Amino acid sequence: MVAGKGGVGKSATSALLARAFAAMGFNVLALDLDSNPGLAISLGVPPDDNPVPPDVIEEAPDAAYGWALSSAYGAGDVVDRCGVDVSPRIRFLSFGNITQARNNLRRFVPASWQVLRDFQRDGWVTVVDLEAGPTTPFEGIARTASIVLILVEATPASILAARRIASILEHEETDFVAVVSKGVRDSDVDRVAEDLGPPFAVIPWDANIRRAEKEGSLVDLHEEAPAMQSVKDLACLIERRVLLRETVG
Amino acid sequence: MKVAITGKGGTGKTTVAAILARSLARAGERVVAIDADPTPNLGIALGLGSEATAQLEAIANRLLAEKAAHQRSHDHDHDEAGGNLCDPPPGQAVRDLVAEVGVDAPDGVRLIQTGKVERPADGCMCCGSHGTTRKIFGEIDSDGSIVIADLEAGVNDLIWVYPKPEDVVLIVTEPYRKSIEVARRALRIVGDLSVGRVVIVANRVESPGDTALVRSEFPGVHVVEVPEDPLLTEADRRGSSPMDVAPQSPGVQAVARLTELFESEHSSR
Repeated sequence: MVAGKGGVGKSATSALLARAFAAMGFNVLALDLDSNPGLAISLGVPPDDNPVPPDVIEEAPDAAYGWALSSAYGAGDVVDRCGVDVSPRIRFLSFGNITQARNNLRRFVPASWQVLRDFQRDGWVTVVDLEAGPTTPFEGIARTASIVLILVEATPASILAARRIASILEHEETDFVAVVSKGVRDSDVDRVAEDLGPPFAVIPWDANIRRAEKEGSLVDLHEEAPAMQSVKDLACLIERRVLLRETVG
Repeated sequence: MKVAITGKGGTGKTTVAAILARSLARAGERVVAIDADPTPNLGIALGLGSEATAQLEAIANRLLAEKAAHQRSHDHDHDEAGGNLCDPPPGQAVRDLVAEVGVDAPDGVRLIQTGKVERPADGCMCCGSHGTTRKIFGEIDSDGSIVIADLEAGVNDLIWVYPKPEDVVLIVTEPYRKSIEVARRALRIVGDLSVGRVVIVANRVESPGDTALVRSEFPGVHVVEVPEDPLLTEADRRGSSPMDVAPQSPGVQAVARLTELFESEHSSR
């Protein structure tokens, strides 16, 4: 799961991570839990405001917001039926974006959490792009994560947000690491380390990304781009860390 | 007059809110600034400093605790008619809250923090955060003052806050796809709500291409451009207010000119 203050690069990083894991041989479910269409755009998928048909959910008085995943659907069914293939190994799934004042998106939220929690397939990695800020992890879904990446820039506001998210995750007993995003100078790492300890990884500021975001998506970002290289290294580090924790138990 | 500032995360809402608030205050207006972000940072942009900002009291917790006490003593159900789990109860007047819990920021801007929720046990976090902002923004007395709300990133908070036709909404966007998509949705929402005065603030404009992109996406809407400004970015990094470290820089000047819109509105009332 990728968390952090708004604008830090969650969607972009999630998209690049999806590419990195795919390159490592995994199948990837790129799951967008943000009600804004960031991940779709980063992956080059036209934002579809209603990708999930209404029959995927049913009324459930005991569930949060009164709606839950329909009993006719398993998590895998939703991924297979409602997801979109971005590439041979990357499947994108979103439950919808808010587009109007009468917002019924909330009904789909518990179903999205159920899919997140229940979707387990051998050889698959789920990369989750979270909504900006500390709210989503608060809602208990952080426990489904093998690891949460808290992206942070070297600004006081971003660091404050990262600290808030970190304390929530500590409370949820979820493994998390801090990753410096849009790193420009060495002092950025020092600045972040002052508050959060030595970061797990650093993704450098990359003009290629800014250009790619303006012109299209990150799907075609060059393999040799600095940010892409760092994200690939990050993916390896994540794999190793998660495996180690699972082995140790 | 009440102003809500919305837009995708990271587009510059907080910076615009802070520069606008202090500029209006310097022009003689009484300004109340509302920080609706669950992690408060408007105080930093206003020039209060990170530590003071981090220590701002979370009104939401006070309201949620009152609500819990209210429900216990009145034995209410969650879906009582006229009530909503996510609405703080009638209670302390908003004016009193602003006086008690608000802090004074530079240039006399009164700052109040509505988005932060400390303890989830007192209520679901999103309801506490959004519900508090809605209550304060909706009920605050804006006679003779200008209320500027720096909303949480994305359009969810905008919907919660439910701006009225007489309110003003600034939609901050940067000249690239993701940001523009959120701005489009925000525009549609304020249209649904019949908000009378909407301005698109095109932030970090670097080229004529950027200008053309934003204007072509929002034909017929008032667009104000703010140029990319390294001094603003530097102020962000340092945790200072751009008004203090770079008051003459192009970015600050462009945002400060937004005060012209409000002065003519305000004086015609």
